[in-house]
Amino acid sequence: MSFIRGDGLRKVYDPEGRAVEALHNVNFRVEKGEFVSILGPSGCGKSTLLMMCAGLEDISDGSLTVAEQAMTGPRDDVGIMFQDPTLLPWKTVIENVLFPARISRMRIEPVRDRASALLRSVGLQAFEQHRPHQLSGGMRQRVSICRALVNDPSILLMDEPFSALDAITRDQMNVLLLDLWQQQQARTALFITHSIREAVLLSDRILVMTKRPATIVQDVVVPFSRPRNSGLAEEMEFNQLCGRLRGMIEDSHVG
Amino acid sequence: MSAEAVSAHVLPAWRRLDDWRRMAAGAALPAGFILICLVALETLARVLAVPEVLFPPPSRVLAALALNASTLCYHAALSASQVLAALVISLLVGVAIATVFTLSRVINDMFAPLFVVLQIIPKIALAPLFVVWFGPGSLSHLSFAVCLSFFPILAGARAGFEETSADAVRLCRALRANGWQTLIYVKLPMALPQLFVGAKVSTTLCIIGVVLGEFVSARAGIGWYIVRAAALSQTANILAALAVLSLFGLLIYGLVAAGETMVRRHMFG
Repeated sequence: MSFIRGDGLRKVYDPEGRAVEALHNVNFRVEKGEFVSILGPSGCGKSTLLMMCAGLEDISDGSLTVAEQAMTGPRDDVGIMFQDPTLLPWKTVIENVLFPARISRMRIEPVRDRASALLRSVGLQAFEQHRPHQLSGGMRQRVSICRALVNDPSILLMDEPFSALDAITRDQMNVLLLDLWQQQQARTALFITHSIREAVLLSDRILVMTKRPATIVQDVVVPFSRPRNSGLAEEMEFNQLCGRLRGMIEDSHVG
Repeated sequence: MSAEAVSAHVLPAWRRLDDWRRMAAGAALPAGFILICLVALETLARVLAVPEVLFPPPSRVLAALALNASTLCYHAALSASQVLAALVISLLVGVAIATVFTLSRVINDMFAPLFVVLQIIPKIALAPLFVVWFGPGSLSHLSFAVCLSFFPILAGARAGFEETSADAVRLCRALRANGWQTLIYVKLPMALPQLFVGAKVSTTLCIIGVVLGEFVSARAGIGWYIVRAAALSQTANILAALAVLSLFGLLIYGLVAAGETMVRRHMFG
């Protein structure tokens, strides 16, 4: 059975009595160890789907199971990244990374080593004692990656984590995430993005989502072998796949 | 990217000195204006020979201040300690109520509107009631001052709690933090700037509360001193007490404002 499995998922918002359907009959599977992207235009409900997987959004209809357990609320084996790094401004970088451990009342000392190692792996070893306002946007989002990974989660959920960054920083972050991902095998990742290239570079599989009705219309396997590097983005097959995906999104809009 | 990111956030000593100089320059003009006013009043009072009971010239007030310095200090210290105590209690009460409101939706919906309605009552008129309840001593002054001044802190804390970035609260939920953890780790620190805004308003209300309480009934304190001086037509003494009271008010307000600046600078960068 699939690790994450959604069947007939539906989400209806009810602002002032006028029901708005944000998700309509969403079916998808994510296998253990897979990196899956959900690709779609802004406002198509991808984030809603991710928040459901995080247990932060109620499900109006259908079923969602993670590790064969029905979703009832936030799980403790999940690491999450939002579009905004959401760092606490009064805490140092290392304390921000340790925040999940503090919340789950773990013994801090062993986690501290792990946090330091994570910060080193994203090139922030010199910034442990800095505070968020002293960092650039890309650096803050790197701290946020470390925070998401500090409890060694089996699922990593990312909600457009790089969309607020400039294009150059964004490319750097993609490569960084690719490297981090390829250093381990055990995790399963669900990644929300509206960038086709980002999705193709990072994912094993891409679920294409469309607006109205907000549902998954395509399930595309990314055939490139790992380990990948940023050079992949220059190759013809890469760009052909990007073109095909763009076509799918445009088609679904016309139809 | 790191070079520009790690810009100088620790102010060098000369910049700090510069801050002080700028502040001194900012204070110079208002202070100069006050000085001119005092000289003008002094001249007017002398030239027009206004009776001293109506309007004592500033020099007389200064003399009264020097003459009664120890008495004034005694009464001022008494009132000051009550104002400080009232401020601390108001902080505790205001934050505690806001905390209960933020932890329980039901209690919030039940009581929050009532607290707002209560603010419409002219609470100053309640001062005699506090004397009836708590006697003529400092307990009634203290409780009256707290009653007058806790609301801005409650409002500030509530605004601060509500304002807490939705993202940070969502992060806490995702990490399965309980209500207390969310409050202690995220909401309370984030509410501090708003809390200080409330505390600044409360500071002046505390002073009003204590002095008014002493007006109504007391055996000591700066409010009592003013009432007694008025009864004896010692206008210079009234103004001297007023000067002391104003200085004290400025001092305590300055302390709270300094606390606010420190929190903003050190916690939020």
